[in-house]
Amino acid sequence: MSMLLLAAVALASGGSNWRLVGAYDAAAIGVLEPELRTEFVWAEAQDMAASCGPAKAPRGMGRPEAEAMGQRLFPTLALVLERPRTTQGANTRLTTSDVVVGLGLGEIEQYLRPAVEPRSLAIHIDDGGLTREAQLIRTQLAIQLCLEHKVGRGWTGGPQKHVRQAFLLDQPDDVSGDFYFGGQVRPVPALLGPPDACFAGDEAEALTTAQGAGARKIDLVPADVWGAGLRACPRSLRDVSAPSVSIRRDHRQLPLQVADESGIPQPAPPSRWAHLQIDLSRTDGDAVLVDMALDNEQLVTGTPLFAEGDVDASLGRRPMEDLLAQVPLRYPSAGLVGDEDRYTVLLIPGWQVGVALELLAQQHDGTPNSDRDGDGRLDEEVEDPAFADAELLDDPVAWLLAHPEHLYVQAAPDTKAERMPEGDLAAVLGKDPIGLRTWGYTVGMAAARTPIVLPADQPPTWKQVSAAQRMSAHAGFLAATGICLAMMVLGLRRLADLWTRVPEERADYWPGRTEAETEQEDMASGPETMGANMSGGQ
Amino acid sequence: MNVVERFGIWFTRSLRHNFDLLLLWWVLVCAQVMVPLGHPLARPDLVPWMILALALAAMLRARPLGEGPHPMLAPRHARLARRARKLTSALLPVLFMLLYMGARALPPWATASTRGNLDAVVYPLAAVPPGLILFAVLARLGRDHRLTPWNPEKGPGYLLWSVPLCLAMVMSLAAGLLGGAADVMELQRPVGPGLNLGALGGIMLYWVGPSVLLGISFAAASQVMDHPRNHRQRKEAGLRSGEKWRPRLFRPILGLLGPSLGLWMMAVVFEWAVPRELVDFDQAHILSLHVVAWAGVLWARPQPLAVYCLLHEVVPVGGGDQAEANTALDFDRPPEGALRLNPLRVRRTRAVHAWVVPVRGARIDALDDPVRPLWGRRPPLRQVHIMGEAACEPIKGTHNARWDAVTIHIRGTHDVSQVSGADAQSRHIAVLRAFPVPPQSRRAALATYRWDRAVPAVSHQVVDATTTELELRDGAILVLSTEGVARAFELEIGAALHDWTDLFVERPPQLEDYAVMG
Repeated sequence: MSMLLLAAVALASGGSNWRLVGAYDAAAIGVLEPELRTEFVWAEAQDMAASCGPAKAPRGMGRPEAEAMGQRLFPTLALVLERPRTTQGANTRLTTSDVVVGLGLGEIEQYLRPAVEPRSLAIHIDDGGLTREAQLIRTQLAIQLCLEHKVGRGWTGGPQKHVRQAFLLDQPDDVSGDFYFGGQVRPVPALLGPPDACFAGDEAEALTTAQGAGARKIDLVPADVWGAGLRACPRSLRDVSAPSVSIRRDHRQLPLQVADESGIPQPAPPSRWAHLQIDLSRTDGDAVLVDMALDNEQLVTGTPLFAEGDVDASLGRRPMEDLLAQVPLRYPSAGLVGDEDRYTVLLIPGWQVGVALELLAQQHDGTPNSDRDGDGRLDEEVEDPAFADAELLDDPVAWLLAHPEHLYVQAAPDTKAERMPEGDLAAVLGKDPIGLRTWGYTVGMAAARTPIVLPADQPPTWKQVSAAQRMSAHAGFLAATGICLAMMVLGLRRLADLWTRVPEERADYWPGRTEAETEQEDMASGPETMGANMSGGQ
Repeated sequence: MNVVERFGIWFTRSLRHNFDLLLLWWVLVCAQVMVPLGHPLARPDLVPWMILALALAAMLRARPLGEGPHPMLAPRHARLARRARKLTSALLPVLFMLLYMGARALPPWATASTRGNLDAVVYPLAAVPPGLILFAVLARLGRDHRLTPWNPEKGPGYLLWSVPLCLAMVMSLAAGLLGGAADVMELQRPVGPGLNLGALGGIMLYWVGPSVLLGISFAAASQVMDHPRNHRQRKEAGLRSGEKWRPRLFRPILGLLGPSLGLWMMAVVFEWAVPRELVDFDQAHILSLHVVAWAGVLWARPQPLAVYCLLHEVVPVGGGDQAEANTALDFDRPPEGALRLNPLRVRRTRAVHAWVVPVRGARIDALDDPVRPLWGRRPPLRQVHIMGEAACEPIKGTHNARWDAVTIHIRGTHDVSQVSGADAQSRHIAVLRAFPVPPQSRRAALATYRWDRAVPAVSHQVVDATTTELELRDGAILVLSTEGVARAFELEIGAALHDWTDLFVERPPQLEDYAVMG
């Protein structure tokens, strides 16, 4: 019987390669232990600051998102994915091309962009005699990488309007809300630390014309973009075939600590320079083709550098391929000793959730919800099926955790040949057909005692783990379920007693003392005669 | 009785008899999620959790796996000694676990590359000496638990318990060292199904240690409840056939190998056959179920020899008939009020009669015990009374013993009516029970008169010329009436009687001592 149960448990927990084992508000869990906060402060890469100009920050906050998440300045949705244990030791780090997170009603309608690790790129360009095109690529990469450096967000490409909003070049769309960040319809991932980049060619390839680009104003100015430049890499990075070297950690990233058995803080995993190799070639038809590889992993093969079609009037030429957008960004991982990348952590700033919920509410309702009582609480009689109470929220992450049926998380299988995301890992959050979540059955119960990951300098305490995984609720639910089950079984067994006829027996005379006689005798004889009238007993 | 009904009876009986273990398992399931990360109870090899479950089960149920003392000797009953002996039984697996944990951490510590921790070696082993002292104190306090007076052979009794104890401690150390060696060798644990013999070897070796420890702990927790003199008594008495007594080894071997082999096979098959899963603390509830189930098998509740019953004399509760003066009642209306006894509306008088009813099983160890009796003894009185022979008989169909129902075989019809000369005296005997007990049928029997209610047959058993058997359960009301004058007795089934000698202390009172008809 035990073996059958064990197999059933295993099969129930299987099915997908990756497992969602934690969903919580990292800021809310973090404040349970106020002294265990991180001292992380965003420190720009000095070399990048020298070539690109100083780093900026979003208006209204004055600091990058990573620092704000570390300082618990706004709610942060943390999703912890556990990879299959049998892939231990393999390179199973998830990237932006492997994971899809979104919100919606029945399907993903609004995408969220979890925070990613910063990247340090040593860019090798083999122009193949195409010096003009190579220079265009250098300029493009310098602008994009400098924007990453300036605003602390990762470049993932996209329409110009969305990109300009995401990198704070334009005001966001008029989306009502009261968030420090955001308003962007299509957010981009935040970087958890300052990025770095350089050109690995000779000194002549470096773009170091951005002397004082953008100055130290908090607003981005055209000089921040057009004055961007990247320095030349040191000699140790100029050989693309040489093993990558660790980067200097004078600009560390937001530390993430996993709750483990030892309670000893885990050092940050070593970050290394990555070699981005770009090769240009020209075909017989005069088209320019580009090949791109990241650390010998081919990302682009034989792709035309310039899109086919008409010339863009604003550019005066055909649009150029966005190469940096095709370089995947890695999500941070955490783990235990000997299994350091067991968990992948998806940190989503609360403002992204808020904007997505607001857009969903507008999409599915169309009218702002104003039926609230004097305390600002939602009137339960509002006719809005899904997102009525999602508007005007102070804490959208808490709302989403209370309505996890609108969250979708997909992760790619571990085989590189099948990179298409599959399966909704967020199903464990409570899309159960019988509504167990209403009674307190949530993700913590499905994941049981899986450790959590928090942005902090010290590992989370058991108090934080139990709160994030809802341990007390889990134990209480199990106990209550057992009691209810026992009562139900016992009750069902005797349910028929309610309508079963009780037999009777009749006689003319039942000898014996009446109740009144007994009481009279007791009062008359006193307490010493009280007790059973045993006859013939032992 | 078909298979489904038999299974239902067996399942219900098992749940009822093992409710304490079932409750223990559920408490462990609820507590499992509250165990902090890094807590010693949450070790991935599940040993601390396994021992915790075993210790708690031993506190509830531990009993010796041997044959016990000579059945003709009366054991002592002392509450303090019993509790101390139970604590001893629970403590012993903990001591073995400490030895195991210390030994398991030894090879990784001795091998620098595995970054072993010396504290993991020292702390568990340092706790063993105080544990042994506590064990000695508890064993001394519990010495009198079920101790019988005859100690025929004054040999070195300490050898009988110290040698197995030392052997078990050495085996615990060896199991720990084996596990530690597996850790040092970093044998690969599962990589999914398939004929990966290397992974299978690693899995098999990994689980040898915890499995051996479980078997040793079960055997030790059982054996510590026994007394060396019990074996001496049986050896000295010999068998009825005149042959030498040889100890029965099946149950001790089952206790040693059953749980350990079960755990080992379960873990190995699971880790090897189920892809992407390892047994760790997330599956601790399965392990605790395994331990609790084996506790139910090895430490099954003993079948009692008899049960004490009480017959409370009861009278109906309620006022008299509602007087309808000067009005003729319809002839088909039954009498109401105090003349009618409803099982749910009775009041006990203070007359109580004790009754001892034997329990009959398919086999009763005490009766089947082939040991030679120490002295002659008359057999116990037959449990008879005016209606016939009363006994707790086995369940029909499954033949499992039960002691929640008393079966009376009616001796004959002459007990019901009596004719003397020209006068005929009619007696009426009936057994009322408010509600049938599942799985008894609730199908209503045909009523004799139109005013009689059609009630389930088992709710109203009337003794007539064709009745051969009556079944009385807890709460049943036995009505004896003669010529319209009736007395009623409510049956209360009380505590079970397990010691053979208690039956011979004195003659147990019988129902006929109090309820004389006619």
